[in-house]
Amino acid sequence: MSMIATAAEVGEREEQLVAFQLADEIYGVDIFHINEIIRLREITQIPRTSDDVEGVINLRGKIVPILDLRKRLGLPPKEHTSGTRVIIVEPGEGTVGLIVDGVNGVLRIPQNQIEPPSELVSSLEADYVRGVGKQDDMLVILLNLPQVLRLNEKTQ
Amino acid sequence: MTEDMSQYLGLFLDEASEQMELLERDILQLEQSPSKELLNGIFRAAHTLKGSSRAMGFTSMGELTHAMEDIFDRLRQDTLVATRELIDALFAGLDTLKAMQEEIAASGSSEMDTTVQTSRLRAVMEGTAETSEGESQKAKGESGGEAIGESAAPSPAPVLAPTSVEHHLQLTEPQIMSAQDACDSGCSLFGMKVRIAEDCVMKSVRAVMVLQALEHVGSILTTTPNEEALENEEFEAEFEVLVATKKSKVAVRAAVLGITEIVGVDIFPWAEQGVEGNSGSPTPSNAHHLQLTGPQQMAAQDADEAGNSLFGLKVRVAEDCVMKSVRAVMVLQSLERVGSILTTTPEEEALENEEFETEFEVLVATTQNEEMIRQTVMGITEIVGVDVFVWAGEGADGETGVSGVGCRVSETPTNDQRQMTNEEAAKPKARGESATPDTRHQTPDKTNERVVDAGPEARGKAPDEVQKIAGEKKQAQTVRVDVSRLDKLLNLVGELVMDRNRIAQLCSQIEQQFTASDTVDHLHETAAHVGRITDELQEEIMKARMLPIDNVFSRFPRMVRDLAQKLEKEVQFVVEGGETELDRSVIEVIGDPLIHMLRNSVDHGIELPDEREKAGKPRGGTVRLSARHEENHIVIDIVDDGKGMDPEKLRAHAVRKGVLTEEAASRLSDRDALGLIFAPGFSTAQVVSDVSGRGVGMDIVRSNLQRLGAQVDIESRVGIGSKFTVKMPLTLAIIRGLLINVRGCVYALPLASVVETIRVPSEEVHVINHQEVILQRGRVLPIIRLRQIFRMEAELTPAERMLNAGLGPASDLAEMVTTAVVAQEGGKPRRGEKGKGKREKGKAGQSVEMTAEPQILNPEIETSTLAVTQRPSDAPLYIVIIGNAEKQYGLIVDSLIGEQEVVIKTLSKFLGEIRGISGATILGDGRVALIIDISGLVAVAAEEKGLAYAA
Repeated sequence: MSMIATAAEVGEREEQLVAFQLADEIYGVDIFHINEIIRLREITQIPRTSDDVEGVINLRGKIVPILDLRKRLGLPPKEHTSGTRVIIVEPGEGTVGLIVDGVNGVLRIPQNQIEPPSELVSSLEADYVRGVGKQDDMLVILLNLPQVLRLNEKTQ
Repeated sequence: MTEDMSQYLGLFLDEASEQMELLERDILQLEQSPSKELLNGIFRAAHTLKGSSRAMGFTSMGELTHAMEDIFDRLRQDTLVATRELIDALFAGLDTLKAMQEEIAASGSSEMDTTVQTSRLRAVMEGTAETSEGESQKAKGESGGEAIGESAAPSPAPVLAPTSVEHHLQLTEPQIMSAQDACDSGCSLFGMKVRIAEDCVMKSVRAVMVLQALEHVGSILTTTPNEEALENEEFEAEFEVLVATKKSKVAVRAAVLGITEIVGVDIFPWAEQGVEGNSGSPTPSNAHHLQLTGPQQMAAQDADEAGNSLFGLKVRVAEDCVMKSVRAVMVLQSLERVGSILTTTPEEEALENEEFETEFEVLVATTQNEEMIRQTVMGITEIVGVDVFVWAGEGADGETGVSGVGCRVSETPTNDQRQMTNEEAAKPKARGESATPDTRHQTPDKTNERVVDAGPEARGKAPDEVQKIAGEKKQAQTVRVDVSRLDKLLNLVGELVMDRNRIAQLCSQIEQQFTASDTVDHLHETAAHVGRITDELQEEIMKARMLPIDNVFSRFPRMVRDLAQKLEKEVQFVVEGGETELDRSVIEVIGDPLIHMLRNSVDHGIELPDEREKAGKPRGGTVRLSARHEENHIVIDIVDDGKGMDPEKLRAHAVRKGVLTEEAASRLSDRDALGLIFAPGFSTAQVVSDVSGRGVGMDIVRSNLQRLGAQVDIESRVGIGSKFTVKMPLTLAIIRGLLINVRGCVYALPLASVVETIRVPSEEVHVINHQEVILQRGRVLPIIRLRQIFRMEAELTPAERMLNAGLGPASDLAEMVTTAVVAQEGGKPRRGEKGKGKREKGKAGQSVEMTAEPQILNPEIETSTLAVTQRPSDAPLYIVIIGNAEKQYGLIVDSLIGEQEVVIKTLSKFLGEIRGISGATILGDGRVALIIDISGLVAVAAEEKGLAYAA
């Protein structure tokens, strides 16, 4: 929450993103989709669900499903570490938590520094990516969150 | 529709469906046992519906209702007979109305054409009406005119003298009657000129809103121009309305001025001489001061015919009462609830204006008895006495039926009456004393003495007060609450329940840490108290959400009637226990399964009349639907006295349909064979009707019911009949669950589905036909291993995974696992034993090993496909037997944790539908437990393991 507060002054033509690490890439999700970021906590496994569904957690009395974003995006699985975080997102209807390797912080990327998805990110399904942002020497893959989650609904 | 109107839409729809339900029920009863009272009720419902639909601008709905209303009106005047044809036409009309109501609810308007239904109704009415016309012309002239008076256009009729403001309001003859009636029932008549802002773009809407607002405070007698013209905007900036209301002028003004773009209203009292003139105002010429005008006598006669009794009442208000008028109005209001007020002395207006001393008189027509009336009045605060006497027609001329009433009931003249008559005669008349205090009232003792039967001997005594207050409370017994608010409340209580569980758990932990401390004791006490309060709160809120099951049942009589007619069967449908209450969440979902079962009973159960006769039964069959409470469940029975089900035939049929092999079928017990009708693809109907017998019915019925946590049982005897019993929880929001542990994960089994829990040595599990079974009291129970079904054999549980990852505060984790895997001894859940001797802080793994089943965490075992069998051979298995009398299964679980109330939370749609899991709940320690869906689980097991499902 504090991150949102510090980034309150929305610059013109800038995108505010929460940047996080997955494998060797940095990904970004629109800050307005993000409710909060929590540490990994006990997850109740749900039997007979697809591989990327980790289970559910109790988030202050609400039951929130947790997805492993690596598995969701088809990246190789990795053991959770002390840096592992859960990003709680609300991409429209419903809340869902995404397990990521670590959270880097809030980024502001001017819109003119964002390019449409290209072969640069060929490892991901094109639907998942809505663009690639550049900041300094860093490339940030902007996730199309609703799309990433919609596909999950379908597989079930 | 404008926004202003749409805010009333919800209200209108609610009201409309209420009225329609009423109509349906009453029309059905009309067919069986018509009565005057019933007809009056039906007429009122139709009338209300007509009025509100017109006001909302649904004219075609209004037209149709109007046609129905006319029929009811003629029925109650006996100028029309309720033939089958007529009832059918009425039902058809009602169906159209319902369809329209639904359409309006969905889209805000209805394009449905009602002319067909309307003309059908008119045709039926005209077709059968002529025969008995003229029999009671007089009655028709009276009330028939009144009925249509409201909507009739002003016609050149006797003009009543207006008082002050110049206006154009005219009353027709029937309207004058209504006006008179209104006056008699305590209403004041107000004429008003309403001005709408000139720049208003939708004057008609404003006008309709004004009329609607006025309908809320009273009833509209006439308007200038007429209502139709107002709706069509055929007026300038002004129109006039005459209302009869019990409200004050100020209230009426406020109601009108509350509407946007209404810029002014002149309200003037309507001169009553025209209304009163033809009968003369009541004069205190006899002991009671009560006198009936011509129309009142009519009303009295009507009341008499309807089986009402007439009672005169002398009501005394406490002298020191500061708001006598309020008490008087309360008296009148409460009397209106039990009967109808024919007249009062002084007039109602005078009562409202407090133009009386401490006494006033009322004449009521009621179906209640004398004592009831007395109690009704005495229930009001500051009413110190009431004399109730049977009205013997004093003041009424002998020519009316009223004297007949007097003769009939005055066989039991009361002491009250005589006493009062004497006293009254000696007293100055009640009217006209308004200015000077009466000496009589300065001797309260005497006043009180006279109140012999009325109960309170002296006012101000505490018990009396309590009684009176209670009586007063009765007046505002119900409050309409938005359903979403109740849902919210329940959610909050759900949270509270979870917190209570958590607090209880923390308490026992603290108790172990600090054994001999007062603070801990106090904490414990407080926690226990909070727990109790929470329980109570939960119970109360659950109660508030309860609705009588009649809300569902009321739909059925009509359905059964139609169905029986279609199938040419004679069916008597009996409903019992309609007052049984259950949560609205259940009410919403239980209707459809019940409809299906009832259809099944009428269609397949009850034989054709000839068949029945041959079998020596009455031609008419009986289907009995009853509901009752049994502990925390509602039990619904559907019983028919039809042909019953033959297990032999069911077996044969199942084999033919390919549901079972012949061998499997022959092994079925009779009871299990009956259960075959729930098997998918099974239908015994010889002819597939459009009613039931689509072959998918009963299995869907049962699985739907099971999803709600219900159990269905069947009993049947050939030639005698069948009985279906549905047992389900009272609510779907909070259930009692049996918590079980599978590999460190806690699951909740709905307790309703749990038959018993047992412990058996693992070697007692046998394999028959590749199916694991146990023998239990001579029965063969198929076994389901939850570890297998939930695929928890080869994987680490989350708890384990976290341990491996070295995450989370270790001590918390240890605690968590310790409480999760509670060792159970003797197969009985034992609470509070969890921490004993096991509190070892430090490494998580160490603590976990203290639990009863360390082998769970041993990775070596996990390569096995049947982890459970790898236990020490003497380790018994925990088996939860689930299902119902008809079909049971044994669930092998790792351990039992205990029984708990669980608040059901749905799982996110991101997870899709998970077979075998119906939801989740949060446990006392904050962890999430999944709730197992028994029928889903069994289905999954059947698929995967080839579990003998129907066999």
